Amino acid sequence: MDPECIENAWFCKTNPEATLSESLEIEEGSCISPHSWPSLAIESGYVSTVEEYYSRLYDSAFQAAQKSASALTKTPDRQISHAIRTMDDYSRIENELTVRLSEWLGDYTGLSQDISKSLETISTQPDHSHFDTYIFSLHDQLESLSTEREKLARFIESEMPYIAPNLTQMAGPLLAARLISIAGSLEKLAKKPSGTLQVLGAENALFAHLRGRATSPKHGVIYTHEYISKTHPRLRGNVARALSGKLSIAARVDYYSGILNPELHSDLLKKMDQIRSRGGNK
Amino acid sequence: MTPPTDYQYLDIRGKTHLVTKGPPVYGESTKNGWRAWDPTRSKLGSVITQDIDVGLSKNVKVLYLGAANGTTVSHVSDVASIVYSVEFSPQPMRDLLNVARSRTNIIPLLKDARRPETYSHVVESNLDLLIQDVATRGQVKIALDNKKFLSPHGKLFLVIKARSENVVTHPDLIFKSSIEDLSQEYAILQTKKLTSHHKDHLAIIAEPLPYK
Repeated sequence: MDPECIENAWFCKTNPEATLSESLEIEEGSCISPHSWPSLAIESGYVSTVEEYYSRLYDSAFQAAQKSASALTKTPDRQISHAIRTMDDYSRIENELTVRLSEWLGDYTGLSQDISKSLETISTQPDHSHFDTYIFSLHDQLESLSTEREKLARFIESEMPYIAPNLTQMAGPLLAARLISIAGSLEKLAKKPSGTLQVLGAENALFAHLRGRATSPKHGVIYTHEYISKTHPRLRGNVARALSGKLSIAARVDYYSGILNPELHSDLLKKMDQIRSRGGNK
Repeated sequence: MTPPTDYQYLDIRGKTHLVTKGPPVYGESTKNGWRAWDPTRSKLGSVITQDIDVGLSKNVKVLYLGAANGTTVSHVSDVASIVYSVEFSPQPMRDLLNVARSRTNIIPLLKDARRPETYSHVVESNLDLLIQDVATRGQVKIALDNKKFLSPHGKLFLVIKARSENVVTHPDLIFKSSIEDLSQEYAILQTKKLTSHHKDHLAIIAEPLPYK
């Protein structure tokens, strides 16, 4: 038996009484190539039977997988991704229900006017029908959805500077959170090339382009950044490229150091002035 | 742990199903402890129902790469004696752990199949079957890198997902080059295109060639 190989085995460095250290060894250990671990474990006296080996391995591997899985999903950037998606869901549902309410009110009152006036008309009418209750409760639901969405937005705004300070300063908290949520995590965002960050959220357009059916998209969700949306369409491609370059640097600084570096932002401002001074500015 | 049994075919409520014996997992139909193995949800199941020998038989030791939610893994564990189940992503791992709770022959490993050295200190050598169903680029390289776990008489069941290699290239071209690259270290026994429920997937059954 090669004495070196057994040193790497998951059960070697551990005290047979403590499953905690075994699961840590499963998580973090490594070995160039596999060996007949069960028989080595018996030879070395770690266990006395094959059955005992597998039952110890099962316990330790189960613990290890559970621990590392929850460590990977409990991170603040994962939670903020859920928060921003919930916020976007709220606003989608809010829009749908608003359309429904205004259609209903239009038919019910027979008047074309805005929602609050229609509601007033109904409440001042002398005759009430049992539809009233449901119309008012739909309106209440809408109100509470909207408060909830605003609360969530304020929460994201207050959390983001701790999760990704540089990215938040450049992109604003909501866009920064949206970029993290599309990429999957801050780590994944930091490891993406800036060309990918530039078109995050424009996947359909990108794949149409790759199949040769369309031109390449200039921007994905970063379109909502005022640097792009308030720039002349002719210059948007340039601006998007410059912005995504700086944003991906910011994401990397945030992931690897997490410290705010104001220079990054002033670099971006300079670059923007440069591009915009080329003209075509509105 | 229920003792391993082979798979077989059984009529459950008027329909013939491929079945394995074990505790139910995902609401599949059961009869006397036998659970239907749904070929539309499992690539391995789909290939077995086409009468192709994938090397899964009673008491084999298996390394399963890309274990995902554990649907297929649960059936493999009914038959095999031990299933080392590698899954990279934490969310499906939660479901896999639930499956493993009632099956002590599943060894769950939250590891990256592209880096076999990170689990070589746990997974033993000389395994009988390597099952690979991962959705990532470089699927053939993974099969080559994980060959060291297989016994010389072992088998590889590999599903190539063309869409994970490249969305733009035609699947047939990807399959052709995959088979070519794999042939350097494996003897291809059979290939089968999965069509109906698993679009753009090619199943390959192969044996490891001796190391040069």
